[in-house]
This record gives sequence, C-alpha cells and structure tokens, in this order.
Amino acid sequence: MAPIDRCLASVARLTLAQPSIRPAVPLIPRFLAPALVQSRQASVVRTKKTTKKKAVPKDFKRHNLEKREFPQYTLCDAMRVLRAVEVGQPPATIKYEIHINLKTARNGPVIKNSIRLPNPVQSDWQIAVICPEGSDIATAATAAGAVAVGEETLFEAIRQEKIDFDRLICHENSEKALNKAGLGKILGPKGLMPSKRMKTIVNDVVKSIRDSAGAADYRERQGVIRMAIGQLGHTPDQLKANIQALLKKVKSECAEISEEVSKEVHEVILSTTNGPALSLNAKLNDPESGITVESLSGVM
Amino acid sequence: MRSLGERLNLLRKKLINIRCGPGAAILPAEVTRIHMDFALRLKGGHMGARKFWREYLPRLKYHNPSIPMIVNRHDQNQLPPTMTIYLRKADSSAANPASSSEPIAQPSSSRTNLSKAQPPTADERVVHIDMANKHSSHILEFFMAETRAVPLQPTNEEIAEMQALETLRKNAEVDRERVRLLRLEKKKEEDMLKRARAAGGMAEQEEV
Repeated sequence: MAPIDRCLASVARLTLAQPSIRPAVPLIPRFLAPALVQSRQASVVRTKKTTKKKAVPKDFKRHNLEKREFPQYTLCDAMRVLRAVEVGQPPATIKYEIHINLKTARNGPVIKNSIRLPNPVQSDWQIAVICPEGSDIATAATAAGAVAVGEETLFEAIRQEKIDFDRLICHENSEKALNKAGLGKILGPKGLMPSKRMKTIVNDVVKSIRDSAGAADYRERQGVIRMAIGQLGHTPDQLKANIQALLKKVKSECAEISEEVSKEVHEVILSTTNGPALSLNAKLNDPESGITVESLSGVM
Repeated sequence: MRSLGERLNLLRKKLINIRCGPGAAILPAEVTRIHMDFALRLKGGHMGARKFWREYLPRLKYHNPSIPMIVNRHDQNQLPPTMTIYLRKADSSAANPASSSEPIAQPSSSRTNLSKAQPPTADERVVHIDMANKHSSHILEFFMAETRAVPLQPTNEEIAEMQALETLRKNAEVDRERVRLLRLEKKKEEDMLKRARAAGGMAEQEEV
C-alpha cells in the first residue's frame, strides 16, 4: 500500500507544483485593456511644434539708401516742410529733433554722453547743489545760479517730494551725507541721483553748473541716437551749427569706442514735435530749389 | 524700426498733402504778413478759423516760406475770430524797396494771447476778415479774393503721385480685408482646438 500512497502523493504534488497547466483565459483582458487606454491617449497627445525661432541678426538692419533711392533733403528743404507743418505753433515749445541711425551691433558698448550745443535748446535748467551748509561752496553755487543749496534742508525737501529742480549736483565733501540720507529710492527713478560715473559728484561745483547749464544728454537706444537739436525759431545756420557739433562729437565717439566692433553714422533724420521725419543729405541748401536761407530765418 | 518702404509711403503721403490741395497758392509780393486771432475753444463760431489754420495754412506757408503767418490763440470766446492781412502800399514799395527787407517787430505765434495783431507800419495797409461762424473753405475764398493769390495747379508728376498713392490706398484696403479674414479663420480654428482640448482633458481626468 505504501508505494501506491507514495505514488498518489507524488502525483498530487506534481499537479500542485505545475501552475503552467492553468488556463490562460484571465490574461486576455489584461493586455487588451492597456491597448484600449493607449489608443485613447494617442487621440489627446499634442503635436509638438517644431518651428524654430529665427536667429536674431547680430547687427541692426540698415538699408542701403542710395540703392533704394530713398529721398534725402537739404537742410533748407527739410526746414521748409517742417516749418510749414508747424505753422502757427508757439516756437519755444516746438523742437527740432534729430535721429542718428548708427550702423552698429545689437550688443556691445553704447554711446552715452552730454553735449553743449552752440545754440541751446533748453537754457533754463533748475539746478540744485548738495554741499556743506553755509560754506563758501554754497555761496558760490548760489551765485552761479543754483536754485537750492544745502545738505539736510535739501534732503528733507526731497523726502517730502518737493523737487523743483531738474539737475542735482553733489560736492565731494557731502558724498557721505548723501549716502547716509538714503534718497536713492526717490531720486533713482527720476535719474537725479548723483554719482561719480555720471560726473554729478564733483569737486568744482561752479564749473559743473556752468557746464551742465546748456548741456543736453543723449544716448544710443536700439542703435539710434535721438535728441532735441533746436527750437522752431532757430535759423538754418543755427540749426546747422548744432547738427554739425553733435555729429562731430558722435563720430569721434564712434571712433573711440570701437576697438573690435565698428560703429558709424548711417543716416541723419530731422523732424519736429508734430512733423514728418526727413532724411538729410548733409547739404545746407540747393540753389535749384529756389528758397533762400533768409526766407527761412524770419518769424514764422 | 519701421521698414524703409513703410517710411517712404508715409512720407510721400504727407509731402503731397502739404504741396497740393486747397490753399496751395502763391501770394503776391505786396502781402507782408498774415495774422490770425481766435480762441482755443470752439464756442462762438471759432471752428472755421481753427480748421483754416489746420488745413490750409500749412500749404500756404509751404509755398510762401518767407511770409510770417502768426496764429494767436486765447481763451476769450466772446471776441470774434479775425484774420488780419498786412499789405504793402503800392506807391511806397516802389519808392523805397529797402524798407521792405527790414525785420518787422512781430511777436511769434502764441497760445496764451501774447502776440496780438500789431498796428500796421507806415507803408502797410490792413485787411480784416471776420471768420466768425464761417466754414474754413469759405474763409479761404475770402482770403484768396482779398490777397489776389494765384492758386497753384498740380503738375503732371504731382497728379501721377496722387494717383499712385490712391491706388496704394485702395490696394491696402483690399489687403487689409483679406488678412483680416485669414486671421479670423485661423483664430476660429485655434479656438475650436482649444475647446476640444479642454473637453478631452476633462474626460481623461475622469478616467484616471
């Protein structure tokens, strides 16, 4: 009996140990289900956009004006048009504007400076000076035409936002007091905060006042220098002197600034506050046009 | 920055507008200066005067760059808007032409009533035009009659230029409409996709 028993037991063990005999029926829904889910997902999947961003060119785009035959005007022709557009406007409020397009790279150093024009556009700057109160410097600054002088009194006025000046100069001796006052939050956004780099913290206050009185700032933005170049009442000769002075300075700066990058003047455009922009061709007057300098000099 | 072609077309339009049109006229030599006086606000019939200044005076100034044209504006609407034309007397200009080149003491234009009409000098006579409640074109008619100005007819080139700009404008209108429709269609498609995506996303979330 024993061998039979053993035999039965071994058979039973065999049947238990072999799971492969089991039917594979329950497996079918398992691999069917993921297939269904996947097909659903596929309908939702977004197609990724493969369009690449265009690479920005290194230099600002500057068209060839001669090749495109873009009209350029003499100064007198341009002034004739602009004076006609601005007829009847008060000449002190309307300004001639100049735009100097530069041939330059998008990045790299930019031109930023101030210039004293031969015929100032705005002559009555209101200048305030920070210097030790009651000192010789203070009296000298008031004599030179400063509207506000002092240290703590001036700081207090600034804190109360009573700013009735548009230039702020600081003497070297008062630099510490200025830094201690912590006015950067108020003056910074207005561009009035004195700094050594802007040459508004100086030793000789009187000289600085005299320099900045007739000076106008200009800087290159997006490859173009824009600034007011004259009042509407200016004569062609006055305007010419201003434009020449500015261009001379800009050109010399272009030559100075470029060690590895090249920077040069591409186009000079004249416009007014409300007028169209006219490209200039570096001549004062064309005798064929039939207008004289005198006819553009008088009262509007 | 604007492209060169765009700049050119805008400039062409402005230049032709200042060169041709009503008001493009050459004033005779005896006109020495023109003065306009009207209020900043329109009440009291000051509109025609302002429109004259805005529309016709630039053209007159372009063709007569050496004649001062002064506009004095103020806030006194009860005063009638007037134009003063200063004319040189015929006999005196022949007698001493040197006096005409002398600078005239005339304050420049103002919007704060600072440059009132000056009394005429010895060899000048004045003509007043009352501009109250008149249309600007009506004022121009008066002005042309008083000064005997010679209206300029546009030359052939200028006519061609105007026609070219007109066709440009018409083409631009057609193109604008075409692009508008294209954009509309694109936006419609995008919106549809967006809606479908929103709906699909919701269903997926429910299943998970």
